[in-house]
Amino acid sequence: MSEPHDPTLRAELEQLARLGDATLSAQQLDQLCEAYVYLEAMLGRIPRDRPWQDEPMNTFRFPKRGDER
Amino acid sequence: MTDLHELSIAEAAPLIEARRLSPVELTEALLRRIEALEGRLHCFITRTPELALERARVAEVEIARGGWRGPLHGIPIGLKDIYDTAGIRTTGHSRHAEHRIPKADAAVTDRLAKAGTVLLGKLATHEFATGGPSFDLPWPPARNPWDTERFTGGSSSGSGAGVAAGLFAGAMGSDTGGSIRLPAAYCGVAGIKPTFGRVSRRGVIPLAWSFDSCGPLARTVEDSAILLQAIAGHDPADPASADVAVPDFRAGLRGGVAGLRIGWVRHFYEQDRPARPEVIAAMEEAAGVLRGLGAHVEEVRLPNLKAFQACYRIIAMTESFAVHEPAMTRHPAEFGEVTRYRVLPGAVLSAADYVQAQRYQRQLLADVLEVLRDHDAFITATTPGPAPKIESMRPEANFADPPLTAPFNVANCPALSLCNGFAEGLPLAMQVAGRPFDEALVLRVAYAYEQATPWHTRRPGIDAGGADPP
Repeated sequence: MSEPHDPTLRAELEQLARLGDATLSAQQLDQLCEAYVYLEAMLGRIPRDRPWQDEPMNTFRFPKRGDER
Repeated sequence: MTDLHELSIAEAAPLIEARRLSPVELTEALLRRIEALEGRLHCFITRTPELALERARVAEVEIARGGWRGPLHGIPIGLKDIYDTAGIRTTGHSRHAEHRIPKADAAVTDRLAKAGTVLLGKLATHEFATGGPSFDLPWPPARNPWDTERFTGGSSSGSGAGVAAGLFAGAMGSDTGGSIRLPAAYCGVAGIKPTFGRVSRRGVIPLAWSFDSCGPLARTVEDSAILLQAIAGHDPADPASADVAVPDFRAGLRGGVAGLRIGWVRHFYEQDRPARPEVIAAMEEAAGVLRGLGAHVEEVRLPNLKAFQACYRIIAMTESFAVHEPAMTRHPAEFGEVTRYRVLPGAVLSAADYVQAQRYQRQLLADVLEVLRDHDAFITATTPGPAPKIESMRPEANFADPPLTAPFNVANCPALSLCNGFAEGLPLAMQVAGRPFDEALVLRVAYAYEQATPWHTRRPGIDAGGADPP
């Protein structure tokens, strides 16, 4: 199904998974490596160098005047 | 009278109100149909025939006493098995919740019960609304009634398949990145993802808090409007529930599209994720139909589909991993393989990745709203082709191919999918999307198209037999 994964990536992902308290079997780690290739491509499409004022979508918004009941 | 399973909600309701159709008779007919077809369709996780008959009898007595509650009174429905039902197991189609029996109803369950609906049972999904189709779970995946070898779409798979097969006229689904619209498309029915905040998510097993939306699937747009009416409205117990007015969705259906400006998002399915020629042709015809009805249909450009996919996936994956973190880290093998594939990568995403994706969401939302300043609605394809073979589905497909549905989750637009043609005897579908909280206009455009075309009248040949799924 998949080609052998880059050993460095595999080691990094294993370490990251451990940091997240996940203990994975060799097969589960293989799956994670496979999925990560797609994840990396998606991460590459997220602009990171943005103006400081650009806030995340979930920033809390206070009610406007008149909204209170 | 038409076969009872062929009746839409809008057709059955006046008959029930006039006491020319008994809710018990209707429920019994559908229970017989479920008994006959369920072995091939696998729509249900849990069936509730006794409860259904009890509720149908109660409805019949209430209506006989002059207590008709409205168009859903005595109407049998199904609920995706992520909606909590007090005293009835709610599993999320997962081994992890195989014996979970909630103590309270979800808000939607409660609203539908108050409207007088008759619950036929809890419906198949993908594991926790993400991991499917899967063959390593306690229950098999649902099958498409147009061809049981085909994928239903997901994750509201039992809802789509059951509505298409006439097991019930309406069902509840949920949509985080397309999970109402995709099964609606592959099964040839209508399904609307309301605006995030329009329908309470209280008591619904979460997939990703930023996007989870509850909504109905039904055979017609009018039935979708009736079901949405019953479940829409503010709920202080859901922190994302919006306190906004709920219009009369059904009353606005017949307003027509003359003079409306409709943005045609062709690049999604012609360039960003090239669709099959039949899909492109069906969209051309649909645009022509809307023009013929008086709408101004013009091509518009939104950000690339892959931009929406990246934003959606990073946020959804981080949140779904957070939802399942304790179980996923301690007992990953107890999840289905597809669920692990789609949720576990959330363990290696950083906090900065998540926040950057949320900053990007705000930008993408602004880009979409800018186009909606000059347009009343969008149309685009729902899928790049008809339902694929279920055996061909691979876990990585969700990562490799950008879904045509996710942009309207990222931009929080209400979006409805409805049938707009057939290829190889299988349904094709179009999305109609609109401004946040303008479901009424989305329904109006979809209704105008539906009434001008014959697609919603076609039925799968499931009654004629066919091979059982392996």
